Amino acid sequence: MRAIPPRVSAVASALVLTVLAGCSGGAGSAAVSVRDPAVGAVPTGSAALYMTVENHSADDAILGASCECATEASLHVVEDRGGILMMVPTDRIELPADSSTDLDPGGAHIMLEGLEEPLEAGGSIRVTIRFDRAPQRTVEVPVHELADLAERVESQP
Amino acid sequence: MRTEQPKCTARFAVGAPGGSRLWHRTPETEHHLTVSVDTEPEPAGSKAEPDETPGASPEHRVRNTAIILGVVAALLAAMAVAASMSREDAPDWRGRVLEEPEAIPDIRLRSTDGEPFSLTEDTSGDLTLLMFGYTNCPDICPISLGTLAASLQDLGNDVANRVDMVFVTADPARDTPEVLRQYLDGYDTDFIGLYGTPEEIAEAQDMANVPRAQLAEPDADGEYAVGHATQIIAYQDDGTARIVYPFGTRSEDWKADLPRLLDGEVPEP
Repeated sequence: MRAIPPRVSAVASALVLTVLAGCSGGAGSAAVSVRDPAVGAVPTGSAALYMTVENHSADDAILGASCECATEASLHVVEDRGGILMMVPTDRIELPADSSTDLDPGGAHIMLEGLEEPLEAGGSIRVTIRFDRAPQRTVEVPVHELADLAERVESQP
Repeated sequence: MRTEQPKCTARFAVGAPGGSRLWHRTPETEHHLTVSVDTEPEPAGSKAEPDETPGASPEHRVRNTAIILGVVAALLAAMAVAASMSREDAPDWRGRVLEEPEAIPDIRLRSTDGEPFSLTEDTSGDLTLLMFGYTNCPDICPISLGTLAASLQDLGNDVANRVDMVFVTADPARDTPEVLRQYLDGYDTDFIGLYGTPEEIAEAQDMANVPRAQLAEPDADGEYAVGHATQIIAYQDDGTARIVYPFGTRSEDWKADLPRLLDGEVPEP
């Protein structure tokens, strides 16, 4: 018998995503806004946070994050080293002025370590993100089925 | 002297648009086309000299030649259309088809129950999927394993029971058999987890023809990342891999390809 975490319909999760993204986007005048935040329904260990960060102002950067659900959060970029993908810790994820930066699977991400409990699809976690210049923001991040996150990988086969 | 109008009939098994003036549909079947053109008289059908027949005038010969060339050209065009249609009938593979097929390597490690495990002898053999990764992986491994697990669940037991997903840890220092088993159970209790010494793992990657994983420098807490190959290699029941699935393979891709691979369809570059 195959044990799989319970599935939530894609429609429902898309709806949650839309609603929460609307909340987390905040006021349009903010220097930095976060769109489509997502985390996968991982059973144990660590999880990567994905999102699109729009910087409407001068150069900025993500400096860190925190979540009650995890003991630690760190920043990573991913480098392709001759056919292997290597996660490399970084102090900052750059957010160039007046541009949009994607944190997608297989690329730069915020990594939550030491998850207190499995993340269940359909739920959400609250993550506070610190920026170099913009004030910190607390974002409601919906938990997605992992299979739905495969859609966000930049290079599809 | 009566000269019979000779008749040349060509039949084509190819369904073609019925717009050509030269072709008309036969009464017997809509899929056979009959072409009737004037040509040389049948040797047994007439005693007349060829030059005396109406169909043998120089003008007529030129016209006949043109018509025959036209028919041949149309036939070739119809064959080309049919060939391209048959290619479209077989959908593209969703994975990356290998230029050179690879034999399943005789990787011998230990499974999470502590027993020796041979990739060639201890898999059911219908379809073996092989991936290297590690359980502290936050990004690549969860999405790859979660997507495959969801796809197998959607496809049902008839398919899932014939697929052996083998996950080899590239981080044996932290991924004890217990850690590895608990991790895989979070995705699919049927997923097979293999471990070994660092040297055995390195050799297994060489045998599977994937680049060796690299361990990053530990941070202040002693934690470290592991860079690893991300593709999932698919070995069919003849012990040959002809296709691999890179990171980012979606559930719809797995659900399109897995039944075809199990049916013995052969991906060709």
